[in-house]
Amino acid sequence: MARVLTRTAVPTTRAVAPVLVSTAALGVVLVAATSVGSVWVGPGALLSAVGDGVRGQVHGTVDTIVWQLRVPRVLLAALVGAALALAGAAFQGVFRNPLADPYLLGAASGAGFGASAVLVLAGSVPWLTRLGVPGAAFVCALATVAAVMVLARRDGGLPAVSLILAGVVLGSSLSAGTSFLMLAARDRAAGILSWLLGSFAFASWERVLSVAPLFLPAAAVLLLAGRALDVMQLGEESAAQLGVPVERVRLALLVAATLATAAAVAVAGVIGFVGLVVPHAVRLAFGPRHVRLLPLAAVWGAIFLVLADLFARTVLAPAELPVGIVTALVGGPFFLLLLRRQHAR
Amino acid sequence: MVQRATFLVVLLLALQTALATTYPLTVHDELGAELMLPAPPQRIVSMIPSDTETVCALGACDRLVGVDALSDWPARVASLPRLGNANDPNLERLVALKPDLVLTDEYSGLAGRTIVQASMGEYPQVDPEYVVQKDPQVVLLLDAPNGQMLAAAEARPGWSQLRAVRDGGVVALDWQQVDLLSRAGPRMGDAVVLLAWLLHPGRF
Repeated sequence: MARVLTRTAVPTTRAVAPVLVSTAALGVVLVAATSVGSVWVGPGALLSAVGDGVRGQVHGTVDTIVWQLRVPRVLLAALVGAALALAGAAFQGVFRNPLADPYLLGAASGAGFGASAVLVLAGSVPWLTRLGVPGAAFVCALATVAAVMVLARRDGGLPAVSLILAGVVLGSSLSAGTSFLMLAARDRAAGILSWLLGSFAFASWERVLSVAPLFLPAAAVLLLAGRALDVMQLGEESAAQLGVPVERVRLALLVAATLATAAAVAVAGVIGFVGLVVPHAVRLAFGPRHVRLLPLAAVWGAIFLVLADLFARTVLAPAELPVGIVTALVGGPFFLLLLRRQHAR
Repeated sequence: MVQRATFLVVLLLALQTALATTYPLTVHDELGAELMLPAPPQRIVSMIPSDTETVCALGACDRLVGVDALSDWPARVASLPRLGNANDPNLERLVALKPDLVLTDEYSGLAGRTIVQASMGEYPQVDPEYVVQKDPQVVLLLDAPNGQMLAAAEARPGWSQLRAVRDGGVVALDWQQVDLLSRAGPRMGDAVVLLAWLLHPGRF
């Protein structure tokens, strides 16, 4: 790994090509994933269904399946994959720690606890019913990370070690709370577990449109910070001497990555692995510079999660696998293979 | 379908009275459906383990010619032909066995056909596309008491086109109904009547 991380920078003119090629690959994957499902939809039928949908003229089963279920589902998977991989790359860069992932500061445990609380108590607590599972997951994810940041503050700064420790400890407490809820309401446990493992079965245009306005500004902040992140890899003191406002950049990155993560988790549950491993895979394939790593992580995160969800909804059809199981079970061996081949070179 | 909706009660009546009663014998199951047995049943297929055990406990084990996949007691039934499970029986093999009495899961007998197969597990996560594609006539919301509301269910993507939504076939069950349907106890007969009423409102 060390050899890879210290690989020298490539000229910026060559930096654009991989992004273009990867984006084209994403386009192909999006179209393919929209064609495959309970009903196979050929290119012609796909175009006409999407055309009907855009004009608001959805008629018949195929139109309904494509426009109201499959297109939003594929787009949601792409958005969530991009958000998680981008946030993961940012967290790994900020903490200069290869084990960092988007859930490091407790966003997943917070979201899981909020979602579980709604799944268990919604019938008896009306305002929880109105908040809904995504609402509660989003609010609790943000609240948990905010609490971690407040707890980790030292002398006006946010030391990395305090942040990580506070995140891990608060996350453990909230996970214990979720486990308690699952034991206390056994008949809800299957529902909670399947939410915790992540799924796009509840995808809808509404969810796509609720994630996008949070993801886009967060992604813009993260992508713009690529150069500063690259300088910060030299160490925070050196970066400060080179004129990078380290504390402010770090706070902006943490807030933006947390926002993207919370939005993703709220609509799809806790999907593991994407945010940890996609940045590493991209680093292995395209080099460690954040200017290029960040956009490529977003694109490949989208590709990876769209394909994982395609697998999750087709392999046992008409039943579905939780997509979080697929990301780890299928993605894990793939990553290990990539790692070995890279070392063998 | 209703003729297959035979119950333990029918079975007990049929077997207990086999010695004392003259055939043809007419019995009523708990739906009130009439079942005429021209002679004591000699070739019985049981599609529920509890009925398999009861038939054998009544000393009629040798009259069983086929059982469902889950029947495993007493041990001698292991050698009988397996006909799948009650929700999804192997009908060709069942007919080939020429049974004169089939004891089935009462729900599967009258429920019409459920689009969710038992093989998908106890709490299956179903591809929402599949639901739209199958276009069910009736959807029972067992989760309504926990806040899964009727309006929310009907507002799910693509559901506005479902026959169940257009024809008022989406039913939010209350706690009593959910309990009744999920407990295989002495009120099972009531559960069957409830289900029949939910599925065929005009006829019960």
